[in-house]
Amino acid sequence: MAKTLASEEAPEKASPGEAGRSLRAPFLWLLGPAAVWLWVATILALLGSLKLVDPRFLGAWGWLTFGRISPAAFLSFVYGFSIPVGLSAALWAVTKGGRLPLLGRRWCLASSFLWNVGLWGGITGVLAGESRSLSWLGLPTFSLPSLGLAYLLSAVWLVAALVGRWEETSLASRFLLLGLVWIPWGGGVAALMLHDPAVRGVAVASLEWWFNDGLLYAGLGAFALGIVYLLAPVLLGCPLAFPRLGRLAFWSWALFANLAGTAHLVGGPFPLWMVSLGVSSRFLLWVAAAAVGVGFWVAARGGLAEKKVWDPTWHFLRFGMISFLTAAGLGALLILPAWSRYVHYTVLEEAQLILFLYGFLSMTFFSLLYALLPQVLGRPWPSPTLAKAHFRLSSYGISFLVGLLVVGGFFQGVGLDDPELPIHEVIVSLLPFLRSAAAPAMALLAAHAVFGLHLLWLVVESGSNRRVADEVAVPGTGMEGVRTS
Amino acid sequence: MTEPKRVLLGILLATGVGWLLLVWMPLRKLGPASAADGGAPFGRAVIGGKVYAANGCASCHTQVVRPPNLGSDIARGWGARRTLPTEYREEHLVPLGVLRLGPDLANVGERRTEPYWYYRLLYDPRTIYPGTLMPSYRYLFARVPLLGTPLPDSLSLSGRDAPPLGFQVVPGPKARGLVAYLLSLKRVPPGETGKTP
Ligand code: HEC
Repeated sequence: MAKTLASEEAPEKASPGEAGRSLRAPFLWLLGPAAVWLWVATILALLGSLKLVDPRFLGAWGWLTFGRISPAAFLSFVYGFSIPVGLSAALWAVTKGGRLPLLGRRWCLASSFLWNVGLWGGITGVLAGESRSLSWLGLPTFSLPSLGLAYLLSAVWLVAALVGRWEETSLASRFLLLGLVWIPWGGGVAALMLHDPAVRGVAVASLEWWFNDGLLYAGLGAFALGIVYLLAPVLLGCPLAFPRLGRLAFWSWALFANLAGTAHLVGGPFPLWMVSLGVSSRFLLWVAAAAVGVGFWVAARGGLAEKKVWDPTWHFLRFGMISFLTAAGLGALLILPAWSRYVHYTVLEEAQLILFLYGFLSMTFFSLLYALLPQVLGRPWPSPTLAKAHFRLSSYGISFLVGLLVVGGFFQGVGLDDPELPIHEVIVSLLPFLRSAAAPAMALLAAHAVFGLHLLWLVVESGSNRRVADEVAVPGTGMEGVRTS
Repeated sequence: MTEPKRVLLGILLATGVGWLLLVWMPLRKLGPASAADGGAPFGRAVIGGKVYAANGCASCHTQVVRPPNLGSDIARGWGARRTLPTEYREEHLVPLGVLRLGPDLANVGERRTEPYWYYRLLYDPRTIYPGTLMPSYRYLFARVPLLGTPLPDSLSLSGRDAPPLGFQVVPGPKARGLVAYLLSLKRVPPGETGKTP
């Protein structure tokens, strides 16, 4: 299973070589803007959080009103950062870690250009008040054609390459394929239907949630799980345990990710079967997550005993997996019928989302970037200290942010359930938590700043030393990231 | 069929099942009635609905009343009964919402019937709810010269907010649309007694 990298790994000294160098541009075109979008997302999120500290902060500007920057922050994170990193993971997998040549190189560059143009337009549109407020479908219409075209330009041949270079046992390829295919399938259908005047009524809301959870779990989640399966063998020296269970988990994930969305509609204007379907799918997603988790920990226990050096790839990956399991568990717990009345519409649900987005997706993505970039650029990360700072700041930031929202959400839920307690008092009891959340948001901004600077340093250094690099750098061991000495 | 193609087909099918059950079926069963039945809403309230969406009111407000066993919504007076699919039947905009940092608005037009109250709320929520979390939407208002007597819906403002001499503050077209929309939020299922939407 998941021999994607290991199988081609035979010649130890093989540095990225010709193929690797031709990948430099596509990867940088994908990941450079992604780092910028991560910044944009974090700044917007911090502004949003400051607006909850004092709603009058920057209050005169419509384009910075809370209801616009908070969706804009999530949208930039998902479309600006997550999807390009997911595509990089697929690119990495189909080129076998940069060892095989890339056929659609020019298409790839065109695609990231179009994607970013579309997205700048889209996010500006959201801030300018062009959004239809449909969560992950909230990007304005005019940005959709360019985003769709851009995605297809790279996804079509990535899928073709993935299928062409298929490896029987690789679970990484399966998950990456799911991510690659789900996004245009789900996104295309959702976008077309939303622009059909005949689509009216509550189906608009179930469409919205089918897409939301599909994008989160079957799109981005699948990318991140693909990364887990891609990196684990290299980090742990062995693939994840229980491959058959993993395969079962894959199929459950693919199916139930598509059905889980209606769990958000508890108490809404929907027939009971729809909501029950969502609730049970959430549970089965958790079971699938646990199956992946068991395979991961069993492999980790065996493979990691002798690892002494601080390796960012491993630390980010482990944090990502812990968040993944917690978020999946929380997702199933929160929709238990007995709880729902206390937790629905509270920031507890937001906590689960943030744990999934920031804790699982972004940390797993960072893990990939720490492994991938030194190989593509032919240089190790310049500073282990910066990598460590990035990890510390983000792990503390995420943990505190989620913790505050969980506790705050509990107060909010109990308060909302008491009809005698005016809304104002409910919110007042929640405010200390919302306000303190600005501190971890600041920590996350610092974390992403550290990462951005480190990345810039790496790119500049590798650019100035491209010749020398070939001789000196990375003795091509698997996907080792920063070498701590 | 080779293995990767099987996987690909499986993925497409799994996604299709979700679409069929959660999108296509509800659209058939709960979607718009026949074209003869009035059709999609139109007018100022629809424009206001777009303003509601574009300014992200749904990031703090929901528009759904849950049944008594799933929450205190009815006890709080947010509606007389749970929200039914028919209440949204003809609408493009279904802002059920995700987070309650403010009251539910499914029936706010029933509770608050005075346009001027809404204008004051949107211009400066703190004049109505001191210390509230709701932001001001004064960018939806316009400052226009005062010619003779003030316009009927010009805001009476004092202190720091007062416009300079010879000017008045009136709701812009977006604020008017938004308030028309909020006033229209009286979700009574067709066929029931009471105001029809
Ligand atoms: C940051 C969160 C937030 C946003 C965004 C927000 N509101 Fe509010 N809103 C509140 C809170 C909180 C209250 C209750 C006031 C209180 O008790 O403090 C409220 C109250 C209201 C009320 C009065 C409801 C009643 O039952 O009396 C209306 C109407 C309203 N908001 C409309 C809007 C509209 C329209 C928008 C978008 C233009 C909006 N709100 C955006 C937080 C928000």
